Amino acid sequence: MSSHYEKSLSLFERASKVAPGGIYGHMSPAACLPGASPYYAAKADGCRYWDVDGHEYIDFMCGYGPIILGYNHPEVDEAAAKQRELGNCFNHPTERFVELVEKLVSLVDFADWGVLAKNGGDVTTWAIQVAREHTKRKKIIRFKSSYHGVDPWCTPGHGGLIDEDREHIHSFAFNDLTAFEGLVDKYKGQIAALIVSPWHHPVFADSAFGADGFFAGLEKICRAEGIVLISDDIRGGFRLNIGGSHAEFGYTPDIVCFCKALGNGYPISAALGAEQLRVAASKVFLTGSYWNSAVPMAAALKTLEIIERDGVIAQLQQTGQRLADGLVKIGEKHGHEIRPSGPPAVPFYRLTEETNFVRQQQWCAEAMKRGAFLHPHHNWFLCAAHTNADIDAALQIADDALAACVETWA
Amino acid sequence: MKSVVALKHLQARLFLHAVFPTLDDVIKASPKAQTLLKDNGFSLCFRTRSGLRASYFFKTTGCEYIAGDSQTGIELMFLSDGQAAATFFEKPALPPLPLKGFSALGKMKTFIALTKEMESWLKPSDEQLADENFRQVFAPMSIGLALRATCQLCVAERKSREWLASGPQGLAAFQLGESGTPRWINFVSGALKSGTGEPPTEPAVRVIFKDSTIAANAVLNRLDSMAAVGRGDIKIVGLAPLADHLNALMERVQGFIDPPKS
Repeated sequence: MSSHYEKSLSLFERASKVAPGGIYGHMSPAACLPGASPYYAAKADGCRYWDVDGHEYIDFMCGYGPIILGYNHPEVDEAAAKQRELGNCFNHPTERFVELVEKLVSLVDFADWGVLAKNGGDVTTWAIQVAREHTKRKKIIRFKSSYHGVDPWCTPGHGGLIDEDREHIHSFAFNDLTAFEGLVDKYKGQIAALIVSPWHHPVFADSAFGADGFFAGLEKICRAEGIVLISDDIRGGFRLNIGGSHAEFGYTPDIVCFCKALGNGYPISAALGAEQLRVAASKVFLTGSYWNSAVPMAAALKTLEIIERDGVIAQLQQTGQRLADGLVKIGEKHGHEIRPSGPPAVPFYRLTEETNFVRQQQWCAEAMKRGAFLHPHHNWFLCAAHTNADIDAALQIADDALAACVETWA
Repeated sequence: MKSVVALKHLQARLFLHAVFPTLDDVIKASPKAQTLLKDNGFSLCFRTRSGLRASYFFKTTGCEYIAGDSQTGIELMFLSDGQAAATFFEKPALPPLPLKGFSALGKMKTFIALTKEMESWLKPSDEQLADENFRQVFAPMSIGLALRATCQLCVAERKSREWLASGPQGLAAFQLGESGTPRWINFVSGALKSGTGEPPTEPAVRVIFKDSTIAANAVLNRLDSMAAVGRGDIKIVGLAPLADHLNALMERVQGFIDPPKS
């Protein structure tokens, strides 16, 4: 194993003695670059973080999405600190709860009500229960290779599952409207919900946008068949459109789920829904020990305020496009095509000459060694703290990294 | 719940096309097996009325397996998959009908002795596992069996086919050390195949066990494999989700051929 990440590896050795997997879930080294990437973070600021070995990175994962304004954003942290002085965890929700739900309902065009939780999976799973309660139907349809959390109905893992967990979960390929029509015909009157991502962002694959008429077609069928349309906007929420990414892609869901960017790193998620689902929503029990914590709500209110005030979404589009243009040029320069996919604010970049990601992994590992955290398999995230200078510095690193790889490939 | 008939078919199929071909590894590695076959080579074909058939040619140098009929010295027919499965599990069952090789039926004693020897390799004691030379054979042998069985499950079982179709597909290779001989599977709908040696094309994913201890523990489900990957004890080069997707089926194999005692 590389000594570049000596302390990371040493900590992992300790962790793996007391924690299954050492690090589990999406941050597991197995999901990134084992031995060739940092395992543990020490501190962060703006668009940069430092690992426990003291290496500094221009970060293009942003905590896997939550950091939209930059790490340690002073205004968000100040709002959180003020609330913390008053208290965080009480016997009751606070006024922050009402303020935040009101704010979210005002931002999302179709929304009449909202609920708050902690993680994306809390609200996607709750949303399908609301759909089942509303329709009194069992079946849930999703895109193949989509990600909606780690509950049994949707976890990408296979441990601990029983056949019955997925008995009523069916999937179809993204952009295959005909396949969806087929499922609707096959399970006529049995489908409670279709849960979609506003664009397709599987791991180990290019991201993809809906083809012309795809989302409109899905929505039309859902309306005709009484199927609840749920938009899982956990990944993209507030980076593309303050009112939800569905507004960018021309469809109107019945429920939209947010998490990640909502609190700029403070743990909070939300589901917003349309009036006709209010009664069903009121019947599906939801709670958690920390779901009414006031500090993340104060942070979320401030985060939303800054996103609107500072034109963050336009800024992410601009810096994201600068990154995309630069990476494409770097690929051309070295004779190895780098393909951008997905929105510039939540992009994925891949060397196209292979399907097994081996060169992609080498390139990203080289970039990490040089100070830019580029994920080889998962979509990236831009944040408002990325300046043009940061993007240019990252591009230089990506260029040097690819040059080093090309030498070995030759 | 899987019907008993379907289950017996799967079990018979797995024995014929995944477990018994493992005898090749056993004979190559086991002096005891080689002694059993010294001047005692033979060939054998198992058939079932449902259409399963597999042929084996035994020599001191190994066992050639052919997925189907061949010109074997002995041919045995099972009237049902249940009869075959019971026989292979050593449960009470009528003996198969000999269609050919009546005079050579005594060789079946050798076959049974070989399968006993195979069992001692596939279900090792801790003492056996302490031996590096044993582990060097045991781990690839077990992986090879699991890969063959995975192919069979995907051919014969709807659930496995659906699982295969539901995730990444491609060629996966497993090996001990950077220079170990790979065991591979082409985990692709309609083109399932497994083998030993460098695969026909560059694998989409290559899983490299640092040593035989890691590999043996992984095979025996005694290893935190995620932690092992993080430590570098298992190296995954390429399309990691393919290895994970495949692993889900490999882990199911034991439930069919070595089900928990009820």
